[in-house]
Formats: sequence, structure tokens, C-alpha cells
Amino acid sequence: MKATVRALLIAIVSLTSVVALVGSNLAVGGTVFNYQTAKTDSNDPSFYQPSITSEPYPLTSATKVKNVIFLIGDGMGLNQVALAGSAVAGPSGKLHIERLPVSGLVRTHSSNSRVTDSAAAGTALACGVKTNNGVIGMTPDGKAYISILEAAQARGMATGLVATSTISHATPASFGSHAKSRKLEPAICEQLIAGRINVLFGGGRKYFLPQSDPNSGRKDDVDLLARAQAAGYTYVQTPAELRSVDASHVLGLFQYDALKTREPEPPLATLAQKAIRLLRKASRESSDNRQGFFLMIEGSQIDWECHANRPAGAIRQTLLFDQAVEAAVDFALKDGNTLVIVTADHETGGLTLIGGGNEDKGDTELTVKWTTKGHSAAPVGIWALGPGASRFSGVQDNTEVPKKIAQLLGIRPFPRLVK
Amino acid sequence: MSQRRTIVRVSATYDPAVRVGEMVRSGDPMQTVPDPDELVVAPVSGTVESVQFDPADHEFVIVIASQS
Repeated sequence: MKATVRALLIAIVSLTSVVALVGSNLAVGGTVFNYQTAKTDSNDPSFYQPSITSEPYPLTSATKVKNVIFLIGDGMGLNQVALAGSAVAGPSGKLHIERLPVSGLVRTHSSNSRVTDSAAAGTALACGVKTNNGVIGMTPDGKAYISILEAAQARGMATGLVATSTISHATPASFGSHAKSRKLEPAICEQLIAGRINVLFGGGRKYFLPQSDPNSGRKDDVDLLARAQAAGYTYVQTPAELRSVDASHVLGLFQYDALKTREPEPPLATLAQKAIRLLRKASRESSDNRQGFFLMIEGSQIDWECHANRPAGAIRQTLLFDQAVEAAVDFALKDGNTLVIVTADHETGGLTLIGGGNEDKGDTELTVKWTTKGHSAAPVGIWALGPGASRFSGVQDNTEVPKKIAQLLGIRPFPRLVK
Repeated sequence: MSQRRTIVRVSATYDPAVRVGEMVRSGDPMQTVPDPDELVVAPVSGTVESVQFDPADHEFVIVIASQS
């Protein structure tokens, strides 16, 4: 077995991309640009304001968890975080993610592979059970398990999903649906609407349109937008509509396919802020205003840039995700009873950071190498802030994460089968 | 003889076993996968012309150029 693993590792070590990172200057494929001045570069991350301090955010003495904001960086391994942090804040600086006061590691293997995909990893993080790659919200034998979002909803909490992919992509799908294959996105969208999740923000409008529409991604006549609106959803698709919407159930689909993560689209942090605002209000207007909310936010496209082995794109998507983390932390620190958890479903690209010299001598050069175009089996980081955060320190399996959330919310039993 | 292009799609979870410019023979595995049922093999012999990531389907799209 060991020999096989070693042989596989040797086989996949192809050094496909080399990037030199020198201070704020990043050379990609021979092109040097400066993050502070390269406004016209498509990967310009000057939108991002790094923290003025690398001090950790404060620990809280509160013990009661009212709200949970669960942020998942798809494909965001520890080195993706380190690379993005180095790019904007230097080797000693920290992203907002890294300033969360509690940190640990998460193992990510699936039922049928050491290397998981987002469906199996999403199912583990949502439902607390292992499954095969490609399967959403059920075990390999087809038994559907309730997700932590569904369990929170059953407990009376308002719920939301935000992603930069289609809203029915593997990670958000794992929190609000159950399907034998991640490819069943039209059916997954139907489940998301039927599930009465309060806030759904992302891409994937094509799956909500009947096949008669030229932009449809469906092979039937179901008009899911009409169905959603009939069920009480307010539908928004522009930044202006997003700003003005104020309703208990909001469906925001900002592209036919995945989000472009470019203007004029609202950035992930804006979607996160709006979702928090709507969910806070929805939970206050519920019959028992102490129920709080559960929100999952995914930075979906870190994974995609890493599949393409594009360092600058991986940095940009990680920074966009980090802005959403900052938005969640800002709310949590003011609220006092909100638990923020940040992790990844898996690492993508087998990213390694090598080289580097003595920082005191101004030698901060790093070399970035990719060892695969697929996912890797590397453990990922987990960071937490707020009441109960300390539960997430140490090394844990990905299935333990929603179990800990369930314990903190008083949800029992968990995991459990869908009735 | 004309050149024919054959598209092969494989899961993006695992590394493709082929790279652009490599020659493949019909039946060669396109990827190392944990489940033998998921194994995708080259349907034709030829040269790998491109390997592109398709985020919507989370797959690699491999184009094999061959003579027909």
C-alpha cells in the first residue's frame, strides 16, 4: 500500500507552474506586476485591504451560541491561505481568517477515496457522515441524512446559503438537498426551494428556467422561479434589487451560471453582509426570537483557480473569501452570541510554497509549485471565533465539525436520518 | 487523411494521467481513480491537444487529435 502511495505521489509530481513572490511583486509566467499599482490587471487584488494588525481577534466569554456562520473555502488548503496572506500582507501579515483565535486541522478523506471531492466533503461537513465522491447528503447505500442547516431549521432557526458557484453546486447542495449525484443540479434546485431556506444567494439561474427559455439548463418545463415566487420567495438578480430587498425569503441569482466574481456583481462579502442582515431579521420575526440563524457561505472558486494551477487567481479568490470572513467576524464581535467557523472542504492543486530566505535581509522570495491539477489528500485548516470556538481546536475528522455545531446548538440526535 | 478531435471528460477530483502533447493509445487510462468502475480510457489513439478544466461540471475536458 505504501509503495502504491509513493508511486502515485511520484507520478503526480509535475512542476507545472513556478511563480516567484517577492514582497508585493508577483511574477506569473514571467509577467511581473505590483499589487499596489496594477489596477488594470485582471487579477489585481487592490480591492482587498489587509488587516492593520496581525493580532488575533478576541476570545469570548459567552457560552450561548445563538447564530452560526459557517464559511467554506472550496479547495482552500493551508498553503492557499499562506500564499494569499503573503501576497497582500507579507510573510508576517495575516488574513482575517488567520486572526480567528482558535485553529485546528481537519482530515478530509471520503468513503471511497483518500482524495475527496466537494460532494463527499460537503456531505461530511453538513451531515456528519462519510459518503462516496459525487454523492450529496446521503451515505453510499442511499440513506439520506439531515444536514446541520436542516436540523437548525427544524429547531426554528432562520437559514441561508451563499455561494459564488451555482447555488446547486456540490457544497451548498450538501446543506440543502439529498441526491445520488452532484450532477443533478435541476433537481437539487427544486429541493432548495422546497426546503424553504430563507436566503439563497449565488449563481445558477439557468436551472430555475423552463427548457423553453433559451438560457435554460433544464430538460423539463418546470419554471422554478415562478414556483419559488408562488412559495413566497422574493427574487432578486441585480445589485440594486439586492440592496433594497427586505423579506423573510429571498432568492438571489446573479448569473445564469456561476458568478463572474467581477463588477457589477455584488462581491461575496456584500452577499454575506446582506444575508446576515436578512437572517437576523427573519429570526427576530419568528415566533420565538431567540432561535437565531444558521448561514453557510462558500468561496467556491478558489478550487477552480487551483484546478487551473493559476496562483494569481487562487490569491484573488481567497481574498474575496477572506472579505466575507471579515464581514462575518464584524457581525459576530458586535453580536456576542455568534459562532464563526471557517474551513475548507479539501485542498486543490497540491500547492507547495518553497524557497524563501531571511526576511530580515529583505529576502522574501517564495516559489509556488503545483503537484496536481486535481484535489489532494492534505488536511485543511479550521478556524473559529465566538462561543464554543474552542471545540474546534486540534485535529478532527470533517464529520466531527457539524456534530460539534449540533452539540453547541443543542440539536440531538445528530447525525440522524431524514424522516 | 483528415484530423479528428475526440473529447473525453474525466472527474476533476483526480489528476489527469495525460498532459498536452502526449501520445495516447486507445484503451490507455486517462486518470488514476479509486473506483475501477469510474475508470475512463482513451477511446482513440492520438495526441492530447488540450486539457481544460470545466468548473460547471467539475471535470477536465481532454481533447485527443487523431488521424481518420
